[in-house]
Parts: sequence; C-alpha cells; structure tokens
Amino acid sequence: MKAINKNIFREISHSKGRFMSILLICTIGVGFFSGVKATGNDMKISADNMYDEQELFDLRVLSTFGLTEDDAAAILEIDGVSAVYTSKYSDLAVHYDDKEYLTRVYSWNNDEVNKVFINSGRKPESENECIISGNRLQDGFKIGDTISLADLTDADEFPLEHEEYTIVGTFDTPMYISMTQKGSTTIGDGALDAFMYVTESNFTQEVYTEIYIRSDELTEMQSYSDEYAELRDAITERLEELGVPRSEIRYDEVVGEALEELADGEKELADAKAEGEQELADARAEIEDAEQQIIDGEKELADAKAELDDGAIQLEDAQKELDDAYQQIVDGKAELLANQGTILDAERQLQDARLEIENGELELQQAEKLLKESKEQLESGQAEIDKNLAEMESGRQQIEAAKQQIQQAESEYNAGYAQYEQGLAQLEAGEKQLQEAILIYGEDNPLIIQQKGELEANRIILEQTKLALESAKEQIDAGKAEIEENEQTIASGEEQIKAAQQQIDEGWAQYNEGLADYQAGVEALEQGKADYIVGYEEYLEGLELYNDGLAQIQDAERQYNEGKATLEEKRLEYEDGVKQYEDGIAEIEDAKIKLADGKKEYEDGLATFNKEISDAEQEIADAKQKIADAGEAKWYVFTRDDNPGYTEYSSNAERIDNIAAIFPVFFLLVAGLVCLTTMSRMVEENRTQVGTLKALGYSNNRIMAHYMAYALVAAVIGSLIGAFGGMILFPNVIIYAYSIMYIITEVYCEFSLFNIIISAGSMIAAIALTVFFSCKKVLAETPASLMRPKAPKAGKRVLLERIGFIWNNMGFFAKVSGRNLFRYKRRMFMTVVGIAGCTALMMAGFGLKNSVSDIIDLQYGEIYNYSGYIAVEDDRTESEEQALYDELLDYEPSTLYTPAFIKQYTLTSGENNVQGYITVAEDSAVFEGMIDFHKRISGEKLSLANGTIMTEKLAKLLGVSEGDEITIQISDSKSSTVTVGGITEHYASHYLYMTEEMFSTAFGKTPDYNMVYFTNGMSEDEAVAEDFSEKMMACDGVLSVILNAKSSNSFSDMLGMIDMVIVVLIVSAGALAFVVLYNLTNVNITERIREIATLKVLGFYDHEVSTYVFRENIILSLMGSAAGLLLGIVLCQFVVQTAEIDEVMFGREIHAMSYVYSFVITVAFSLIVNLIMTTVLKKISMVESLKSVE
Amino acid sequence: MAFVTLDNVYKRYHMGEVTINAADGMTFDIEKGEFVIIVGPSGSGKTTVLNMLGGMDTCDEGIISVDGARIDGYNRKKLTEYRRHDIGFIFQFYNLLPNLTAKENVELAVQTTKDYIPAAEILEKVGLGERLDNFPAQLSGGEQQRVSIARALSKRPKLLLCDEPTGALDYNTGKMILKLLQDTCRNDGMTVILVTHNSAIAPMADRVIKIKNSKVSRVIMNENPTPVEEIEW
Repeated sequence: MKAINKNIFREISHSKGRFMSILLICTIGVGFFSGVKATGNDMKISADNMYDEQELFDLRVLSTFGLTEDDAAAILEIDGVSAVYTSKYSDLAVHYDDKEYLTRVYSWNNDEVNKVFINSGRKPESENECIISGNRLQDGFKIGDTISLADLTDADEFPLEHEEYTIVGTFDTPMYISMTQKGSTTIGDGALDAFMYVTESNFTQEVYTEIYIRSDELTEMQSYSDEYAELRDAITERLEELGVPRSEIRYDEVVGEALEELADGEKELADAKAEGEQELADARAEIEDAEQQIIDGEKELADAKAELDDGAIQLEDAQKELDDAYQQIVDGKAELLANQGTILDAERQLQDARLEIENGELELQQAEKLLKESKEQLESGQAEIDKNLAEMESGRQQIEAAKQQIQQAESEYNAGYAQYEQGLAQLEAGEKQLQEAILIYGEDNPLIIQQKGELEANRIILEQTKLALESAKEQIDAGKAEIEENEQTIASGEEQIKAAQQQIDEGWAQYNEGLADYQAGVEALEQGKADYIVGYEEYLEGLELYNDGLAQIQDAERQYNEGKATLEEKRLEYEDGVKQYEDGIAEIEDAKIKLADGKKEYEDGLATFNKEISDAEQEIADAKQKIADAGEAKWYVFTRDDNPGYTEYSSNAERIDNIAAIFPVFFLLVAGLVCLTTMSRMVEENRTQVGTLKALGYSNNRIMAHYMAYALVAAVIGSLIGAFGGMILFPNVIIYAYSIMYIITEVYCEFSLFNIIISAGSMIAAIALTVFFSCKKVLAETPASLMRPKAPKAGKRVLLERIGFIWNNMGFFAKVSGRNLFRYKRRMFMTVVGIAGCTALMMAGFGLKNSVSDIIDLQYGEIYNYSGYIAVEDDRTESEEQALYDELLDYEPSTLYTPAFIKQYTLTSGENNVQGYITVAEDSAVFEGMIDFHKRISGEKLSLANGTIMTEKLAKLLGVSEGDEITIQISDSKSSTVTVGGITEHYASHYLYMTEEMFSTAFGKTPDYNMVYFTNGMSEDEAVAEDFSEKMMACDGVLSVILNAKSSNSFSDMLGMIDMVIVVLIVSAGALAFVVLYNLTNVNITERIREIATLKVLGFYDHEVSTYVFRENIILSLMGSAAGLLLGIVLCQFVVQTAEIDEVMFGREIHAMSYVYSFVITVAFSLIVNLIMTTVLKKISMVESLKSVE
Repeated sequence: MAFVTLDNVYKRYHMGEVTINAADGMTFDIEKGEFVIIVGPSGSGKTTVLNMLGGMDTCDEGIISVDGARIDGYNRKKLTEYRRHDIGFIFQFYNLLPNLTAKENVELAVQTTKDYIPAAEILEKVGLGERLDNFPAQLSGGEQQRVSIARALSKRPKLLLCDEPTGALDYNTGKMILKLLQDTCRNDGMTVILVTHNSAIAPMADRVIKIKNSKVSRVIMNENPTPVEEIEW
C-alpha cells in the first residue's frame, strides 16, 4: 500500500468524530430518502402480492338481467381470460346486537377466487352458517351468535332461504381492503357496512349476479402498473363486445316475464285504489254520522239541562212542604199525648165497673146452678119413684105370665110322658118279632141284621126321650118356686116407694123459695150491666177519637216519611240526572275528540292513501321505466379500480411518493451542507499537508483523491447502511400504519437498485462535489502559501456597531459574540439553514398532527353542533314518528330535531366523480342551527336559502366552486344537475346539503326522510350515551342511534395511523437536527480550538469558556428555529395537501403550540448538543494555545 | 523562601507502553523581581516547566510554590483562579483573538478581575496608544506581541511567563519586545520568566536556568545582566 493510501486510513482513525459525523449524516439522509421513496412502491407491491395470493379477480361482469352459465362459458372463450367464477350476491340489512349493518351477502366462493382471510372461526359449511367481515373499527361479531337478515327493498321474495344465520367465522376480503370505505348500495343510507358469505344453495334466485374473471397474464403484472391497466382495458373491451349479443339473448328471456308482472301490478293497483276509495268514503260517512250525533247529543243535553233546573226548583218546594208537614206532625203528637192520659183514666174506671159486674154475674150463676141442681135432684127422685112403680107393675105381670107358662109346661109334660109309654110298648113288640125272625132265618141273614139295627136305634131314641122328660119336670118345679119368691119382693118395694114420694114433695117446696131470691138478684145485675154499657160506650167513643187522632198523626207521619223518601229519591234522581248530564257532556267532548281524531285519521288515511297510490303509481311508472330502461339489457364490466379503497390505496402510495419527493431532498440538502462544512474544514486544517504533498510533486488530482477517498468511504458506508436500513424501516413503519386502514397482511420490502442508486448515489455525489469544491480552492494555492499558516480571518466591524445605542449598551461578551457570529458567515448560514430545516420538518410533523386532530376538533367540536342522529325506517307510521319525537322531548324538553334524508350518490363534474352524501333536512332553520355552515377562510355564514351547500373537500375533489354546476347520478339511467350554492368548511366525509325544494326539483320527488337529527346537549359520558341509545332504540321504527361523541371517537381511532407517520417525521427531524448541530458545533470548536485554549490560559472558568463559545450556538439555534418556523408553514401546507386522503379534509391551521413545540424541541436539541460539547471543551488542552498557527 | 520554588518536580507522560519523563526531578528557586531565562534545546522539558508554573499543567511529584502558595496540589478550579489572577502569559504566536480590537483583546483578559490596569493605559504604556481600535490583522507581529504583553500585564500578575516571545518576530522587533519585557521587570519589579531555546539572550537575565534532558543542568546567576541593546544574536 502506498504511503498516501495508508494516510487515508490513519486520517480516519485520527478523526473518528468527523468521519462518523459524515457517515451518520449520510445514513440519516439516505435512509430517509430511500426509505420513504421505497415505501410508495412497497405499498403497491405488498398489495399486489396480497391480491395474487388471494386470487383477487381482475375483472368482474354484471348484467342488469343477471348472468347464466352460458354467459360464463362465453366469457371463458375470450382471449386473455384464464378462469371465470360465477357468483351471487344480495344487499340486505343485518341486525346484530341492536345495530343494523347494510351488508352485501355473497355466495361462498369455496376459496376459488377472492380468497378471504379467516380472522377467527372457520369457513361456512352448512346452509345456515355464515361468515361476516370483522371490521376492526366496529364492534366485532361474535362467533356462535345468530344474526338476522332483513330485506330493505320492496321485493316480494326474500332473496335467501333463511332469515337467520349463525356466525361461524369472521373474515377480511381482498375485494374490500379499506376499513372505512365499503362501497355503495341502493338500500338504506347507501353505504355498505359489512360483507357476508353464505353457501350458494341459500340463494333463491337462479341467475348469477356477477362473474369474476381472472387472467394469468394480468396476475404476472403489478396490479397498479400501467401495463396491467393496458391489458386489463383490452380485455374489458372484449368483454363489452361480448356483452352486446349475450345481453340480447338474456333480454328476450326475461322481458316478457317482466311485462306480465307489470300488468299484474297495474291490476293490483287498480283494485287497491278502488278498495281504498271505498274505505275512505265509508270513513267519511261515518265521520258525518258522528258529527250529526254530536249535534243531536248536544241538543238533548240542553233539554236535559232545562229539565234538571226545573227538577231542582221542585225539589226545593217539596222540601219546604215536607218541613211544614213535619212541624204539624210534631204538634199533633203533643196533643195526642195529652188525650192519651184522659183515655187511660176512663179505661181504668171502666175496668173496675166491669170487674164488679163480672163478680155479680158469677154469684148469680152459682145461685142459678144451685137452683138447677136441686131441681134436677127433685125431678130425678120423682122419676126413680115412677120407674120403681112401673117395675113393680111389670114384675107382677111377669109373674102372672110365668104361672101360665108353668101350667102349660105341666100339661105338655104329661102329654109327652104318655107318648113315651106308647113308644116303649111298640119296641117291646118289635123285639119279640125279631126273636122269632132269627129263629127262622138265622142270625146271619142280612135282613135280620138290618132289622136288628133298626130296633137298637129305636131303643136309644126312647131312652133319650125319657131323660128329656125327667129334666123338664125338674124345671117346672123350679119355676113354681121362683114365682112365689118374686111375689114377696114386689110387695116390699111398694112399701119403700111410698116413703120416697113423701121426701120429694118436701124438696119441691124448698126449691121454689130459692128460685124467687135468684130472680131478684138477676134483675139487679141487669141494671148494673146497663150502666156499664153506657160508660163503656162513652169510653169507646173517646178511644175512637184518640185512635182516629193517632191514626191521623201516623198517617201524616207516614206520608211525611213517604214524602221524604220520595224527595230523597227525587233528589237522587236529580243528582243522577246531573251526573248523566255531565257524563253526557264528557261523552260529547270525547265524541268530539274522537271525531277530531277520526278526522285526522281520515286525513292521514287520505294522505297515506294518496301517497301510497301515488307511490304505487310511481312504482308502476318506475317499473315501466325500468322495463323501458332495461330494454337496453347491458353488461357492466368492472375492474379492481371499482373496488372501494383499491385506487385510494394506490393514491395513498403515490402521496407517500410525493412526500418522498420533497422531504428526502430536504434531508439530502441539509446533509450535503453539513458535509460541505465538515470537509472544507478538514481540507483547511490540512493546508500544510496539502502544501507539503504539492511540494513533493503530487498532482492536484492525487491530492484531491486522498480527501475524496476519505469522504467517500464515509459517504458510501453511511449511504449503504442508510439505504438498506431505510428501505426496511420506513416501509414497515408506514405500511404498518396504513394497515390500520387497509387490509395489508404482509409487508414486502423491495431493495430496488434504482432506489439505492438514486438515494445513495445522490448523496455520494453531493459529498464528492463538496470535497471537490473544498479541495479545489485550497489546491489552487501555491505550495508555499499553503505551508504558511493561513492568515487568520481579519476581524471586522459589524453593522451592529454602527448603531451606537445598541452596541454601547451591550456587554463585552455580547459584543464579542455579535462580532463572532458575522465573522464566519458561511458557518452561520449553514447552521441557520440546518436548524431551520429541522424545525421546519418538525413543524410539518406537528402541523400534520394538528390537521388530523382538527378534523375531529373542528368537525365534531365546532361544525357539528347536533348531538347525533337517529336512523329510522322509511315506512314508519306517523304515530311511530311522533312517538320518537315525544321520547326525544321526554328525554330532554329543550331538544331540537328535524327529520332528514341522507343517501350516498355519485356526484360528477367534468372528469371527476366522487361519492358523497346528499342530505336534506325538513326544517332548514333547525338544521342550520345544527351544522355551522360557513366559508372557511372568511368565516362568512352560509345559508341553505341558496338551495345547496357543498362541503369544501368535495368541491375540491370535483374541482368546482360556488355557482358551478354538478351532476347527481340518481340511478344508472337517471341524473340531474344542481348548482353549488355555497362551499362550507367541513372535514370528514363529503356532503351536499340541499333544501327540500331543491331536492324535489332535482329528483322529481320529495325525499323519504330516513334520519332524525337532534340536539339535546347531552353529555359525552358513555353511560349517558348508552342509556339514551337504549331509550331511543326502544321506539318503533328506529334502526340505529348515532351519537356525535361516538362518531368522533371512531374517527380518531381511524386517524391514529397518521400519528405513526408523524412520529417517524419528528424522530427523523430530531435525529437530523441533532447530527447537524453536533457536526456544526464540532466544526466550530475545532476551528476555534486555539482561541478556546487561549481563553483557558487567560484563566477563564470552564463555564465561562462554554458560554463564550455556545452563546453563539444558541443565538444561531434561535435564528435557525425562527427561520424554520417560517419554512415550516410552507412545508406543512405542502405535506398536509399531499398526505390528505380523499375521504377527509385535513385542517389547514397549524396550532400555536406546534410552533412552540417545534421551536422548543429544536432549541432543546441545541442545548443537549451544547451540553455534550461542554465536555469536549473541557478536554481541550491549553497546550494547543502554544502550537503554531496552521 | 524564594518567590518561586520548584523542588524535585517530576512530570511523566504515558504514551502507550512508553513513559516519558518531561520533568525529571527539577529543582530551582526564583526570587521576586528577577528576570529569569529558562533555556534548553527542543524537547528538553522547558515548556513543561512553563506549563507547570503557569498552572496549565500539574506535576506528578514534588513541590511547586509561588509567592508562598503551593500550587502543586491545586485542583482544576484553583488552577484556573491562579491563572486568572497571578499569571500573565505571553505566547510565541501572540494568541490574540482576531475578531477583537487591540483594546478589546486587553479587556478580554481583565473581564474577570477587579484590580486591573485600564486597557488604554496599558496599551499606551507598551506604545500602542494610537492603535487601540485596530484588529490584530491590522497590526504587525511586534505590535501584536505588544498587545499580548499589555493583555498579560493589565491584570497585574505576580509572574509574567513568556513562551519564546520573539520566536515569530524578526531580529529588531524581537529585541524591542525583549527590551519591553526587561523594562517591565526593572521598572515595575515584575518577575519575568522567559522560556527560549536561544541561549544568546541569556546574558540579559538575572538568573539563567539551563535545562537538559528534563533536568536542571545549571543555574547561572548574572550579577550584572547585559542590557538587551548590547546583546546580539
């Protein structure tokens, strides 16, 4: 190795600090340049890799009439098409966890195309399973939960087999890489929220919705490249050509069917109309009846009222009468009481008299009885005597009779006995004959036997007759005795009778005496009785009078009571009457209210009817229009560019490229300047060596090569480290940040040679250039002059000294510093530029952060004054609507609200088309209080009175200003033009606000209000919000409640990724600031090392030395920072505008604090550098002062 | 005790494995008001002596005392104060701050002391009364050195240390500077220690300390120093 080469390495090892500072500045500069530059491309490559991996379609065909297998087969024939995949989808509303998500439900693709990333769970396998896009910004869907689907269109048939599905997994899909933009739909508010896959068998329709096309050739290409676009456009053209004949075939199939359906629809409408009209007429009649009834009822009530009033008077009279009667009764009663006493006395006297009479009677009766008894005894005694006499007589007669009977019996007996004796003699003659017969005939002859028997029986009879004659003789003897006895008895009886007759005669005389007494007593009694009867009659008369009086009183009392009861009754009746009357009035009132309700209902019904009919007519007209429109059955060919977020992603990448175009250049510039200072200093320091080498005969080039080599070694090493480090670090950090907003799974870092050459090359070239210029100046001098010490730079008076009053008032060291600052103008310039650059970079970072946070602060803090909005069903009833308003007012009485219409449409002007929301509020006055419409710069208030107000970013994207016209794409075939009435400050999303009139003019119909905006000053507290939402959701017809506080939170989450970029920016700027300051201070010190050593020898304390040196540094830092703030404003504007995403407008103002932060951080860095340098200063040896000047 | 005393002073430098004795047991005394010349060849250790005396460096061993104070044990701060108040230093290359005028350069030195001679007065004394507001670049070498001397004297030091003050000057100018220094010593009673490799000027000193191989080889006392004007080299 040649000595001069060795010298390079020695040089390096001797000046490690200087070498490292060049190396570092190159690392940072190149790292930033290459890193940021590579990021844009890496973003695209990473996305492209993902698309390829997931086999994202290249093209997709849709037809207004659906697609068939034949279509698919035809497409596959096309040149460039490698594969086709049929698919179905339908836009439905998913209800899950009280929220509604407008969801595109796809048929499961079996992982053949557009492969999804399963985030959790698994793929769908059976019919009622689904997977749903798990949006990382929204609340996730839980696996195993059930979601229900609803069709928001007025289609008759539900497009799926089931309305409920079980979530078996969540996914992300390469078709929708944006976390915020999900594309448009024709349902709901027009913005899709989620995606779903269910197995294809779930779809009821037979035709396919779309066909995905993949091309192997396109896969080979980078998705965002021009060649891709070129080939894709070529295939698109071929597809469109094919679409014409295919559409015709399909049209013929379908349109006949549609016409038939239309006819049916028209008939249905006619029927419905007739029915409705009839119903309305009935209702009208009913209302009229009710009205008549009310009039009648009122009349009746008036009559009743009159009657009641009469009744009241009568009642009063009756009451008065009753009171009089009562008084009379009381008087009568008193009189009666008095009479009762007299009567009672009379009664008592009568009773006594009667008692006497009764006693007399009793005595007379006893006397009478005694008389009667005596008479009876006398008479019965006489009768007995008479009887006994008669008996005596009859006894005599009987005896006479008995004497005759005995004489007769004695004669009979004697006759009987004579007969007997004759019979006996005959028998004995018979027995003698028999004895003779026996001797003749024998005993055993039968005639003999019979003769014998007859004789026997005669014998017996004769004996019996003898016995009877004997008893009769006895009886006759007894009878003769008895007659004699009886004759005697009768004789004694006649004696006794004669005595008794005498007694009786005496008794009769006594009796006649008693009878005379008795008759006298009876006479006296009769007299008494007559007297009593007279008294009694008198009494009875009195009693009767009393009883009459009593009866009269009782009667009167009864009548009074009856009267009273009747009055009570009447009164009750009257009260009933009053009540009834009042009821009647209430009833009438009710009836009136009901009638009013009925009328209102009728009006509503009429309105609804008219509306429904007109809607239906509109629908039919639409359907007709549709058929007419559909006449041009057409294929639509879409590319990936139509995927939401797809192109936005690439424009984001390009935005990073834009940043790469200015920031890194800035870094490079600063780095170059720093290197220039360093290298110039190095060459200056080496004057003697240069001179020596020159003197020794080395060529200028050879000498320059030495320094070139030194610088280039540092630059190349630093640049390469920076290039590779940067190309790994920056894409990873930035793409990671973007992955919050986009589905990017893997970061691909491409080490592009071009990038390395550009970044490292430009840095190395810049360094080489600085070395060249530094050396050239020195090499131009002669060796002799080089070997002489360079004359120290002459001191000079500075401009400031001429301003006497300032200069004279400055301290000694201030004067010194002031003069020093201007002594090294180049260094001053370098330092100021370097520091200004750093400050500006930081400002850009902070400014960007401000801009982003402004979106939330301004949008949700100042522009949106409403509390939130409630999404409601289109077809809610008026009562449901009213119920919601009541609920709102109930929650907070001061609530202001207005129904509004929000739907996303494509707005176009010239070349540009942007998706924006059209918003129409029913009550413009309230709405203007809810959203602060004003021009951003002038602050001039805007009013909807002009018809429309457009948000600022939308106007910018469309390239329109106030008074320009824009086109609203209402449907595929219909569009309308409106004039921009004003442009308002607005940050998040795009809106075109309109008045109802303007909307009606533009759309040819009134808006279907689907939102209710409200302001109720509720707090942002989560519990409050939760409670409020729950209350509102409980109302019928409410779909969802969106509160500003929540929207603002989710927005800040989304924008969080920008913070990452800002941190990168600030850290990079800080690093640069540090290196620049370090380097420049280092140069400053080495340049002035002799001066510093001298100060030390002069006995300056360390801190005095530091102050002496760093005072200048601090002044330069302050100057640089101040300049940087100005530069920062410009840089920030640029960065904000390039980094802005389409969806939002960033704030345009840099906050005061950002100036302060940037300034303070830079100055702080400067102080830190000074602190580090203080130790360097301390180490400077005083011996340096003794060295000769080099 | 002498005004300045070095007693068996050692100073060693370690250069990797090698240890260099820059002062190898030096011993000498200097009395107040003397004009002393320390002379020796390059690398003999005379600058080390100057550095140690000037408080710019410390010794490793031995005693150094100035005006009764032991400076060998001084710490960084004390040494700074010592330099600040007790030492006037004159450099071979003047070491004026180029961005300051002659007057300002003098003022720079006295910014930190209270008892000083005003810049204008001392500059007048060294003969630069007319050049107060000139920058160093506008002054000749001799004039610059005179500014340097004025700067050293302005703070009334106890010792005036001169490091080859004529090294960068031509003969005549050098003589004028030496004369100024000698006059300052004689007239103001200033103790001046001058380090040089030029032994020709040794006769003008009251005391000559010869140094060789980091040791004091001889100390010569001149009872009658030769005036500068008579010396030729």
